[in-house]
Amino acid sequence: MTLIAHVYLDESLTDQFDDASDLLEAAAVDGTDSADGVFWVGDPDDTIKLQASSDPGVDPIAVSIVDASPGGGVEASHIKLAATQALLDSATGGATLNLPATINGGTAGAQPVWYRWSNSTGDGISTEISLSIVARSEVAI
Amino acid sequence: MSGYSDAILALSPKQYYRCGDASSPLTDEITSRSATVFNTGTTFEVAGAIVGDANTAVTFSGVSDYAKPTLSYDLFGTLASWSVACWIKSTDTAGVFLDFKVGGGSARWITLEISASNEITASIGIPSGTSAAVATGLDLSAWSFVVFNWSAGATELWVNGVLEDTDNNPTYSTWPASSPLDRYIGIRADLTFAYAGSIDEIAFLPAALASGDVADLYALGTGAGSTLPMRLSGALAVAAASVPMRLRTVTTHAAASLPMYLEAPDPAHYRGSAAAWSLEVLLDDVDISDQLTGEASIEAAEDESALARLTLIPGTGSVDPDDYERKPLSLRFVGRNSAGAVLYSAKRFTGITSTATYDPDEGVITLEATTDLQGRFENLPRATIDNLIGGQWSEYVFDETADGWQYARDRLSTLASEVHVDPYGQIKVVPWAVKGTPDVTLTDAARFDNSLIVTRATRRDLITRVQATLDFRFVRLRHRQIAATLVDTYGFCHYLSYGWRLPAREAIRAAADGGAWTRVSEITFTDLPPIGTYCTPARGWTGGADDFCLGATWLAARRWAQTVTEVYTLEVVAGDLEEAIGVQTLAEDYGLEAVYDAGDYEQITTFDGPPTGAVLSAKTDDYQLDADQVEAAGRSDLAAAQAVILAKAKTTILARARKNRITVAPVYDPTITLASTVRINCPYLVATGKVAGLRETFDLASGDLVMVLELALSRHGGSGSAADDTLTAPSAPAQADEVTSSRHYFAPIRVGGIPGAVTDSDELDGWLTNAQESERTPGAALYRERLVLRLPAIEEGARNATEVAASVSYSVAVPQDELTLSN
Repeated sequence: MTLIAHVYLDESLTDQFDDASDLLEAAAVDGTDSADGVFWVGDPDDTIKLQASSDPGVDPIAVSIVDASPGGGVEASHIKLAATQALLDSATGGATLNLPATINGGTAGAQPVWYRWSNSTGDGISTEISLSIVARSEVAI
Repeated sequence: MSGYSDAILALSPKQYYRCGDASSPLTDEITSRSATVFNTGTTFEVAGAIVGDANTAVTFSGVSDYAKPTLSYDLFGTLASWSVACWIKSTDTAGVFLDFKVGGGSARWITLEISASNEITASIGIPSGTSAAVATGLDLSAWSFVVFNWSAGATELWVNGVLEDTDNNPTYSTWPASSPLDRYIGIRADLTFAYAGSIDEIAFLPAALASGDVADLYALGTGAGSTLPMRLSGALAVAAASVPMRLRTVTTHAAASLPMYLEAPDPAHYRGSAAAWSLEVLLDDVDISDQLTGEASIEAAEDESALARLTLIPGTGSVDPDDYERKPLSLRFVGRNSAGAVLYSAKRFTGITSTATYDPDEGVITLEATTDLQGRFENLPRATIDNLIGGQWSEYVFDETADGWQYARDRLSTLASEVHVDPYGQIKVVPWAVKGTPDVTLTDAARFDNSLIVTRATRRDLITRVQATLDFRFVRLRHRQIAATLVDTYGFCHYLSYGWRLPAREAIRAAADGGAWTRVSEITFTDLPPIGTYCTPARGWTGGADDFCLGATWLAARRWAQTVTEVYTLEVVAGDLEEAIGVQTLAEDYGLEAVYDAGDYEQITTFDGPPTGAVLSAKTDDYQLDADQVEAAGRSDLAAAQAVILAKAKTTILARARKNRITVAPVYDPTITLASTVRINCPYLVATGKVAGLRETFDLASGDLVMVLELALSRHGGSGSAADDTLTAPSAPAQADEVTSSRHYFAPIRVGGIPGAVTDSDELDGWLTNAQESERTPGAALYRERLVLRLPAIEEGARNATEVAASVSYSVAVPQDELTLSN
């Protein structure tokens, strides 16, 4: 298993995302349904802060939508990302979510990432979509 | 020699007459040549000018005595500048004390003279005219230090170290090579204008004295010493220091991909007849599906933890129930076709095991698991809860010390929403409102017979209006300012007639400053007129009463703090509900107090005007400043509390109105969750509601699947005409008008012994005095003379706590969810 640093499935930052066993799941009936989910970006260690490695403290920690098979099945535009569940309504499908440039460690600093899948593609199981989070640096506070 | 003479000699004088030798009193210190011609009248060895120097001076009589220095050597030659310095002391009003001529083809002269009383003129001249600098207003009766500077036509006259006058005449811009002509001390060269006075320390210097030289010589001569500027450079000694380094390590993590698993089950599969099904159960990420036995169940409800229960057969060997507790557990329903192939799957539960009970007789372990909704909130930071729940919160409405779960519930109580953990283990806040399009519609074919139960909310369950009373208490800082006047009651002419004793200015000032009121302006006194003749018939006024006055006026102020309570009555009314069931009121009380210590404000009596920021109120005629913007429980907190109270009231009404329940057992549908809106469309009942609770039972032995839903329906039973008002916090109620008193205090001047004087008593104020004895009317009342100022007290109404009220009503529209019953 490979634990993904700084990505947790729960708000208390105890269930770290394991890409060998965990998935960002959603179930929505074709055409009529949408499903929301959430995960958290942060770190339980409150003596550090997270920053994008590209330009620490300046660039946002970005979460983007990747479609492994564009042009068929679930498209990136069917997925919305937002910092709160309420903001999903006004989010743009397929758009990258920019989290703050600095995310402080500790539970209070963790940032939720809400996703919504609006199913318009029919029944079945789709695994072609993934979310990508940029390289991050841990810096001592 | 002295410090002064040393300083002169250091300047290399051309001539220097110290005037102190009795035998040859005007001997040039440079050439040792003595002046000649001393007519009768010159006094030698008088006290010299230089303090601390025994060297004496000479005094000329002003008649015809003078001195004439030797002529056989040059004086200034062709110098670019020169200076003449000497000390004189005289009370004469005219007299030349130095007159030196240089000759050749263009004779010039240098003259220093007393040109008028206490006036010195320093001039240089040629036959066609003079250039002069004049110093006036001098006191020449004491030794004065005179310096006459020349530099390329510019002249300066210094007296006692002060530059008194300058002159600049290009005609004298150069000084010619000169042959000696007449030189006189104590008289003009034509032997007129003899000088009466003393002279000492006459020096002819080869360069103009700089201001610093003049000051130094003057200081040396008067014994004041020189000014020696010091430049002191301080330095701080700092010990050796350690400069710590903070080297931060940076750990970089590569970009990561988070795979998504998006399930879209085909309704045709699970709403038809699935030939087979199974449960996929992961316990601590270990698949234990093949160990399941008996029955598994899931129960979920709004605002509660979901519970799962299942039984499994443990592996052979020792069994430790602890190994099964506090472990992640997920349960997935898998629908299969007759061949056993997976048609669809749906996760139904994600939680953590709480208890594991081993039955040794049966050899099975029963596991209970929970989504632990409460536990997940209890230790969360409030910021995280804010993000998860939303809603509003105020410490003046809710318990500030509440734990995370209570805090979450408090926030939730301001929202028409519920919270639960969804089948994926994620906390979800879902609105109560049914969706416009139901997620699932159940017909008779999609439900089991005899499973419908309709439970309507009773009148007792419902609340039609919430009446919240909110007290907001704060301190109003008040400042009253009045004009106080000691009135000139009778006027000046009566005073002249009756001659009473006038009030003293100091007594008025003391009285104005001595009471509970603070004087905040200067006192304007009514002055007595200047000496003259006044009134009819005319009477003379000789003045001499500057310490007294006819009257006075000033501004006085008092400060106090008043407690103000704003009482808000906020009523949220569901009109449609009241149409149906009448009024069912829930009353709530809240309060907050803007904490402000007014002690200092009332204690301080030194001020000169209203407090900063105070404004004059038309309601009270006083300056006011409300201390309601304080950090703790200020007006912004009030507004927040009002918003919370209103939202909470509305939520309370809506929550009670959705206590209508329909229980139905559909054909198992793995897509239905607590977030679902379900419509029932049967011949005798049509209804739409949100799932408020569900129970699923999976009988692994018989293959039976049972799902029971509890739907919540919001109903009001009225006409539906009620509007949904925006819950805007009301404005502060207006301050009540206060009965105001005069802001002017008049204290009269009362004169006893004249007609109309009232009997003296302690109640009388003002300046009480009596007419002079000769003018008194027999039998007229007399007064004990005193000044009494009795400025008015602050009325109780202005000082006591006050209360203002505001009442606002808001309409709330209760949703009317579909419900049709027929027979």
